[in-house]
Amino acid sequence: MKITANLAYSQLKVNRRRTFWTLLGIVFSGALITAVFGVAASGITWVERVANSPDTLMYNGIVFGMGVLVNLLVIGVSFVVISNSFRVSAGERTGQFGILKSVGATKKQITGTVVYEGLFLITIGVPLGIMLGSLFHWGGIFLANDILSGMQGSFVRDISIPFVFSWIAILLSVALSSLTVLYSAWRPARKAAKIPAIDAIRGVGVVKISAKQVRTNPIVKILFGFEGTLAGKSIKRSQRNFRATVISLAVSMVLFIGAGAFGLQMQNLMENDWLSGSSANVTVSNWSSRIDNSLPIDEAEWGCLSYAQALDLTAQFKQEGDVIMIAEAGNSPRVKISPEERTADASPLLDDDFVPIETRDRPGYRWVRFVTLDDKTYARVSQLAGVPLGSNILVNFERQWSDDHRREIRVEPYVFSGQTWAFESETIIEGDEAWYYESDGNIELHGVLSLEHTLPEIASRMGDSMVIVPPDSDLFIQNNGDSGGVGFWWFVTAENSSEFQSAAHELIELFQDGEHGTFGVSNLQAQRDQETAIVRVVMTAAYLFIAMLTLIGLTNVISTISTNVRTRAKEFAALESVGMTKSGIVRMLRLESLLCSMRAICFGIPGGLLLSYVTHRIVADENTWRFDVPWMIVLQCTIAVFVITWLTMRSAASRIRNKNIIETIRSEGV
Amino acid sequence: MAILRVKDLTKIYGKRDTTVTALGGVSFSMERGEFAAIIGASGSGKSTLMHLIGGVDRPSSGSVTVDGNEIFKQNESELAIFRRRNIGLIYQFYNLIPTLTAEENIMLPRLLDNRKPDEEKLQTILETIGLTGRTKHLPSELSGGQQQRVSVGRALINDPALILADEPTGNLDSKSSREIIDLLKLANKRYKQTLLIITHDEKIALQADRIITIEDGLIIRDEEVR
Repeated sequence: MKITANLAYSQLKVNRRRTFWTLLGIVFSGALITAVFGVAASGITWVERVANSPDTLMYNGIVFGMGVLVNLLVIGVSFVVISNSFRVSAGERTGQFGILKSVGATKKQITGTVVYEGLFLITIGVPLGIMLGSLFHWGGIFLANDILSGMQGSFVRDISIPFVFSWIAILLSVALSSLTVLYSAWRPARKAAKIPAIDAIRGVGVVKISAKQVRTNPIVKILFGFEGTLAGKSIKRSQRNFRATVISLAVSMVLFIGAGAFGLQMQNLMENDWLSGSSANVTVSNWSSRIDNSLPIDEAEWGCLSYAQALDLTAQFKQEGDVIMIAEAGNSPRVKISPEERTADASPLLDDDFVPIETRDRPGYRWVRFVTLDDKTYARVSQLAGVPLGSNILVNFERQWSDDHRREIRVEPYVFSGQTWAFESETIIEGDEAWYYESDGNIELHGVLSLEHTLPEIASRMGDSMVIVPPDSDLFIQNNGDSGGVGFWWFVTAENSSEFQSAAHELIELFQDGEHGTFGVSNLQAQRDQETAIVRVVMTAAYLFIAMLTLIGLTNVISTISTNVRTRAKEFAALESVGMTKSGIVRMLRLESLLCSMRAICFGIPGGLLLSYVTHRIVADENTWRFDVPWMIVLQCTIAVFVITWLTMRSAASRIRNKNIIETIRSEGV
Repeated sequence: MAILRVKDLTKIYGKRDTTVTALGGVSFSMERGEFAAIIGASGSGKSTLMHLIGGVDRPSSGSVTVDGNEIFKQNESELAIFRRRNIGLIYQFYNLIPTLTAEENIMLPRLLDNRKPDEEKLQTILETIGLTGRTKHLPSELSGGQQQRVSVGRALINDPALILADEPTGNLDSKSSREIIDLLKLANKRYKQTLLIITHDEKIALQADRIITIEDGLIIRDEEVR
């Protein structure tokens, strides 16, 4: 074997502990790169199977691009971690490099002794990483399919992501893993090889300390005493040693906090959907549609269920569960809302200086929809409004949008005073383009349903009209014209949503003759399950990814802290020889781990919160605009960081307890 | 012909207010096969001079010519290769590679040249330094004297024109010290290798053909002893 390879191999054998942790880091890094590319390959295959569109190439590009981006993050962290390991190895051998230089080794040969370490580790670590990564890939796909197959919706049941063994993905993983390790070895080796031989022999090439560098914060001394000052100086002196530890811990914190906040955001989104607050798990709908589609709209006849037929269906649905029926009349009359009847939150459309968008719009006027409920629901609504049965109830609810149209604002736009409003119906006189308005009766308001008491089912039907709930179907029938716009909605809370979905299809089959409008049945439970499952798959994958990334960093944390303690054995022995107790040294090491953790946290928390806020801005919708700081996740991550560094330092420190002062001071070399 | 020629060699450390002149313009030469000792107090510049002659450090000014080659005109790689083949360095603290066996440490200059070990040459060296039975041992398994023998073997393996020894007996007991000096004298006499030793031990210095005395970075005395 070439002498440089021999030196590299013997170095690996001598520092078995560090070799092990470095190898583990390489294995995890390779595994993660392989798993990510493998999942991307599966994703591409799935897209090709499922997508039936000319944009398949674009989707494949997106999937592959995401895989590359994620792996860039993996490579970045791996490089920091692995190169630190080689840097420590090279740093420990500075004296050896000096000897080699004095004997006549060139810079290239010195660099080679470290790069060969990388090559040896690649031959073992990369194949192991590929195998482990393929296992993660397979396991991840299996887990995802298992979660997705348990959902009720037929769409989701057919997802089935394939496990694809892609040679291209494997080759890419091998190449990227190997290059990462080689570059991680080459950079610190090249730097170490530049140290002049004489400095290397004297051991002054590695650490150049200036007074400014090791000045510590006086607060550290006040809080932690002299051991704290020593700990602070040690961290400052060995900044490079701890940098990789701080970076890897901080990156993990950022990702955990970001992912955790994203998961909360997703949960928030699902809980605040259009029917949030409703117990309904299935909706059935019927709306008017043209009986003969070949006729133009103004000549067509419209079909829909009659009110009696709708009530009959309601009674049948009630056998399967709780039902709320909402009937919406077709024609929408208008009323004029005076300024005294509007709150400050009322829609700007009501303003007297509102500029009409089309000839139908008139300032100060509002469309009205009469929403008729089933008896039981009407009784509940009248109770909430505090009025007796038989009352006309105004729903004081309006949705408005923020200026950027991303945020929904819910307001109470009207001032209720028991007023009576006059209707105006509109019509076009035949042959004329103008709209004409005719008085069409009055309605006296007896009660008001506040924003807080508006049932989610009614709120879901609110558009940009005013809603009045009459006590019976008279107004519904009166306004049920021939121009469509009639609809019935049933919100059902069934014991088993799938069974009710099937039963509903059977019940409405009788009416699906084209003359009774169009029906729709939605299994909300299945949709929610689908969303939950998809979020679970995404979050599981995200957490597994971050956990793996953390493991890569952890190999460095353990290796760095252990090596740091070991290489400072003489320093500790010297401290003991002047009177510092072993407890004092252990305390100093604990403070080092504390200071190191605090540095990681100082970067990790702000970074994590920033990532959380950015993802919140991207995914937030009108229902989840408010950004909630994920304090619990931040706390968990902070504790985890302290625990990791504490345990590692403790394990390393236990080995110095048994050292003899004189032997340690006398000992040289390895 | 002079195998070693040192001309106006200067080495200054530090900048502005903290400059230290380790060597203030040293000049001397040595013939092939000569044995010289450099003596001086601590901090006089002996080791600095040794490191500059060996090409391990670069001077602030001046030149060193070894076997007709002005070594500081070469780049770092060329100098390393030159040193490997033409200069043997021996240090006070042995400076062996801890992960290589005694045999590998001795062969190191040849291995760095990617040359196959000359078994006959190796045997000769091992017999000369008296380590035939411990070639497979690591430095940690050898005594101080044995380690220094390995260091001497390494310095001799390439038949260098010049052997430089910086306090080769500084870390040894008297018996081992005598053995090491005898080895070096043997190499000097038998192989006509030019030998330059730094020592603070006058008894060792008196065994040389010539004693060069350094004080405060300058040669204050250069006298033939025999």
